[in-house]
Amino acid sequence: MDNLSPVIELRNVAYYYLKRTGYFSKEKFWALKDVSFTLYKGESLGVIGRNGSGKTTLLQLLAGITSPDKGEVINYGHTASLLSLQAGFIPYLTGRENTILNGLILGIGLGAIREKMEEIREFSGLGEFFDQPISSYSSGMRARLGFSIAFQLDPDVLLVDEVLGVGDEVFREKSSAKMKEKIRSNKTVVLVSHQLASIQELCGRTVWIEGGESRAVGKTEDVLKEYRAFLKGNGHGRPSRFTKN
Amino acid sequence: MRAFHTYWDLLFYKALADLRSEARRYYIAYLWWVIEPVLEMLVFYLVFAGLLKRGGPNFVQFLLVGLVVWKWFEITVKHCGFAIINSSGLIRQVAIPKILFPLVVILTDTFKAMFAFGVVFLFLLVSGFGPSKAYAALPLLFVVQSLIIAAVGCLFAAITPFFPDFMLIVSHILRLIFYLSGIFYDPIKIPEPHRSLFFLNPLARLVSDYRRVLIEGLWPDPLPLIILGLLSLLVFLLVFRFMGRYETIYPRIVR
Repeated sequence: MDNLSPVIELRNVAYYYLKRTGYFSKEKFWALKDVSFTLYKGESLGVIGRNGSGKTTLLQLLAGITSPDKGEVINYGHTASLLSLQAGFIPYLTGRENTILNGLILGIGLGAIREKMEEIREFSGLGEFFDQPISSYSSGMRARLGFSIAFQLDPDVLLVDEVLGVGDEVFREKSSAKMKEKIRSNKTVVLVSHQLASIQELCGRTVWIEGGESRAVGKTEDVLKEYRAFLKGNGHGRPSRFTKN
Repeated sequence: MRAFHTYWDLLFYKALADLRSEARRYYIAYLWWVIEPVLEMLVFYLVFAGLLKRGGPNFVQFLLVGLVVWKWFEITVKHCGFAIINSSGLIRQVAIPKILFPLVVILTDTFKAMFAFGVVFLFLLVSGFGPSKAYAALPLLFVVQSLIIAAVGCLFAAITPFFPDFMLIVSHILRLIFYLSGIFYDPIKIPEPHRSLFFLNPLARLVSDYRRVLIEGLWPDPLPLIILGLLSLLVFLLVFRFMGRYETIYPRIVR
């Protein structure tokens, strides 16, 4: 973080979902209540928090998929994409056809996909299955294809939700090594993970989200220390949605 | 924001992919796009011409032209209604313009409808209703119908995520419009002033114009068609703007 230019800034962001409570009545459920932090250029920012604390919603806001109900998400003119695997895969199409479709959906241009086609095929390790319908794939093979395509995505800000490595032992190692390489590079990355070891290893700074609020933002080791102390103290196993503030 | 042409590529490739996928699902694949409309028409033919002994001469031609026009409209707008809802997974992962989903449906269903039109053209040809000079009006009819479909289809797609029960109501309204469009009877028989009201229904107008061109070999009145086309375009643009404004609302409500 020698370079302190902000990429995306969140100011007191809140976001709700509508929960149906009856025929015509709906209730607001606040997934995020008050989240503030700034993402700086070139850094890898970790996001931690228990299940249901609003981490996925947070990534959707950063990606511009949704917009906040309160507060502001200020994007200083950068593209931000979720690393989503297998988005829009069609079972009856071949790996190659799905590569083009999935690539277009993720926002990789047609030219770039065609250029990278061999690289994707190679990396996926699918061999001749690459030209078979993916309905004949095992779930591990699909995951490998999905990762190989998504990995080619190169937005200004990469948003990663738990996917470091996929597939079998060998591919998992290979893919997570690649992923870590990418995160460690100069790329701006937001990494959501329950694997605190990965966060510690990869992220310079970390945000801790609890009950829809940013509890702590700062150097990873400090935030992790606080978080671990919190986990020991209370709320073990209890989803944070139901904690009262 | 991504470059505009990438959405263009996505629109066409997704439509192509959906068509391919559908064809690969069945043994006789693409043939179904011909057989299905033939079977559909056969059912109506058997009931109305065979069983009920309806209509005078040319009734079969009359019926088939009406059906093929109606079916293109009905199937497409119905599918459009579910276009965004059915893509909920994608919508929550990627920020893409939601209008793409109904547009893909319109492309694929229109492509398939062209096979049904092909069948009808072939039947007209062999039964002695070959091309006439009035066929030159067909592109106008196709364009106007495409615009109507785009307007209604995208409108349905935009509404259903907010109100999922909408499509249940729509299927009944569509049936009503079907009966009110003179598909299997001749609207000439409707007494005035009801007949003028009848032709306020865009589909009734369209169906009778197609018949005028394809069966009678006469030119349609272009003015109502052009007005209809422009109105549809206006509705489409309004829906386009609406969807653009609520782009980030859809991922929240489509669950």
